Amino acid sequence: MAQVTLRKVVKAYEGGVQAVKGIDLDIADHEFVVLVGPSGCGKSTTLRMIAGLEEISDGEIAIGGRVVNDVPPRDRDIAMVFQNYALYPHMTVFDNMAFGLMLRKFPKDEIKRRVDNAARILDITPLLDRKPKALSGGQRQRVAMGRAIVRDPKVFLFDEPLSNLDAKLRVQMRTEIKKVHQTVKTTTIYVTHDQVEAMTLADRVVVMHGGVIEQVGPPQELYHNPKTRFVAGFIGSPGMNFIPGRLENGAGALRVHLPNDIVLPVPADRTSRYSAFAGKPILLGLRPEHLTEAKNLDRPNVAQLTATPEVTEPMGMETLVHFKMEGAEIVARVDPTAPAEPGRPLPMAADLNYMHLLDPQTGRVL
Amino acid sequence: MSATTESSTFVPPERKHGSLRRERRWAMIGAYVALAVFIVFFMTPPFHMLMTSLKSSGEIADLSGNPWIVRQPTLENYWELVTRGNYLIHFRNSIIVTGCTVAITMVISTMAAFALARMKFWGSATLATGVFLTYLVPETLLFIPLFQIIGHLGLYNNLWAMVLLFPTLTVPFCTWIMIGYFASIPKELDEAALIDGAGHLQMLWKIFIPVALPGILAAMIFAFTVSWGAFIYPLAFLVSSDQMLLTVGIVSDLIRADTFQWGKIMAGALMAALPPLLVYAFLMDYYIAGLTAGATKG
Repeated sequence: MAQVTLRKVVKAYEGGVQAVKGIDLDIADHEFVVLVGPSGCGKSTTLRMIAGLEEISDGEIAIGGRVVNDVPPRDRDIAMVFQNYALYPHMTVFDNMAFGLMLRKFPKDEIKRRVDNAARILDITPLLDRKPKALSGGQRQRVAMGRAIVRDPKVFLFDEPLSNLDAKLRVQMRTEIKKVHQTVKTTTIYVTHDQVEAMTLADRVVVMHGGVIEQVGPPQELYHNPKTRFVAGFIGSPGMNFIPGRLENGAGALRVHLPNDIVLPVPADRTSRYSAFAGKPILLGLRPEHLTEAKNLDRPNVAQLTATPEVTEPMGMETLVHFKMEGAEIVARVDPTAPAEPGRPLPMAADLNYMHLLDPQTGRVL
Repeated sequence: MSATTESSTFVPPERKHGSLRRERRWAMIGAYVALAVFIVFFMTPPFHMLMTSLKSSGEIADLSGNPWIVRQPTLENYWELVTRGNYLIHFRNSIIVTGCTVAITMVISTMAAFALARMKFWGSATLATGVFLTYLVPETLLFIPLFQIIGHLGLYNNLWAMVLLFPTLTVPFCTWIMIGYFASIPKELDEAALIDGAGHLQMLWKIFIPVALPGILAAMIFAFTVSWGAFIYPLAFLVSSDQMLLTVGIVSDLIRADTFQWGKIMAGALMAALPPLLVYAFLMDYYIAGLTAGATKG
């Protein structure tokens, strides 16, 4: 059993700067949790505190039910994969993977069995006699993962392991990491600033911002039901559009009044949820895929509007259309065959079934 | 307005284009000329030493011939040095003192540098600077108070005093060199070792020393050179020939009043220069090699 529990964990540096501001988190056994957020949000610090590489200023961290606040890294039964691999350059791949086991005085045949097994899982058996300098970036990262796997620890910690790889290799290694987790099923905490990595790998995603946890949940939940403007904007690529407007109540129905005299009806099933905010300024949140070329206009809660694209980005399977609305940068995903051209008005459809309304003051999703 | 117009229409004069190959050839010629001057400047003294060491006393005293040419080469000076007098004793003393100095220096400096570079503790940065500052105090000032200390310890005219004194010259600088090397090793390597289960000594022995080998060898070469070539301390603290090191032994044994045995002095100095040459020749590859290649994303 290797749950990881964080209770009111704080990391404060000299001068009073708080990198982590009292976070609570429960990670279940076998779970794959991804900490995601922009630079400086405290995700790496949190991971390093779990690893024991940073002392915690306040709070409690428990691994497998044991409080480890004062336990050195070697006794926490964790293994970590670093962004820059951190392979021992003077050792062969075999020795790199075996180092931790040798220090723990494992019998030689057991060490060999474990290294061979990990090498087979990661497909690096032919590389065992090589030194790190003779490996490519992807191979080095596999070896770093192998070093973690052979230890059979309670928890795997990954600190932005794919950031140094090129885009193609990153996608490939992402799949490898997922496969490895499906094979060994060790509790995994993974830090990244790449929300695509977070979405594709995680059982649950922890979005951090400014040293606090903004939201925790499965990827789909974060995507479809973000609780804050930050999460809504951070998850998804391109991020959610936020259009300033006002919620008005007229003739028993709520309407969102946007710039350029655009009025969009609020779906009936959301009326009770939003009615308390009638007459107040709001932000309309709409993902780019729910703002498309004019199509399916006969479906319920799909409204038409016209926008003049400033820039178009053909992506092959879709075209991203950028335009402005009252200063807000808006992105729409349209079909590549749609007549989207800069400066030419384009009729569009907004699927309000997926709309979000946010309080511009608090940034909370209503 | 007109100034603006003029500046906006300014066209820089066309640059004279030379071929890349011609520019490269001139650069090579310049480099070779500089190298030739360098070689002549630095190789002249050893060449003169070699020529003189192969001459008999009579030929050296005869000023009529070309001093750069040996007319009747002889190994007489070398033979006399190794068969008569205390030259071999001086050589042995130098080896003992240098060997001990290098060993003591490397043990102290490596551990000190590791502590100062990696184990953050209160005042570690100030201490690191302080270590270097002690190196800046010249030995010509230090030997006066040290004379009293060595006298109190009963080590005057004892070559083991040099084993005690030389590390005071070598440890600060070697520590400084190695602090720089250890600091350049990615922090993630020690963090990986910590998580793998290594203690600080294991980390030093199994990770830092192998990875920082070029830096350690650079420090070792420095300690060897300082110890082998030291002159002031041996001159001040050693008086009897059987305790002397090569640097002082050669000049004190082979110069009597105004009689200079130039042939033997040159032969002795040339042979004394051999160990540093061998050390440099064997360690230079390691010195240059970048063992950290592949440790991290590079």
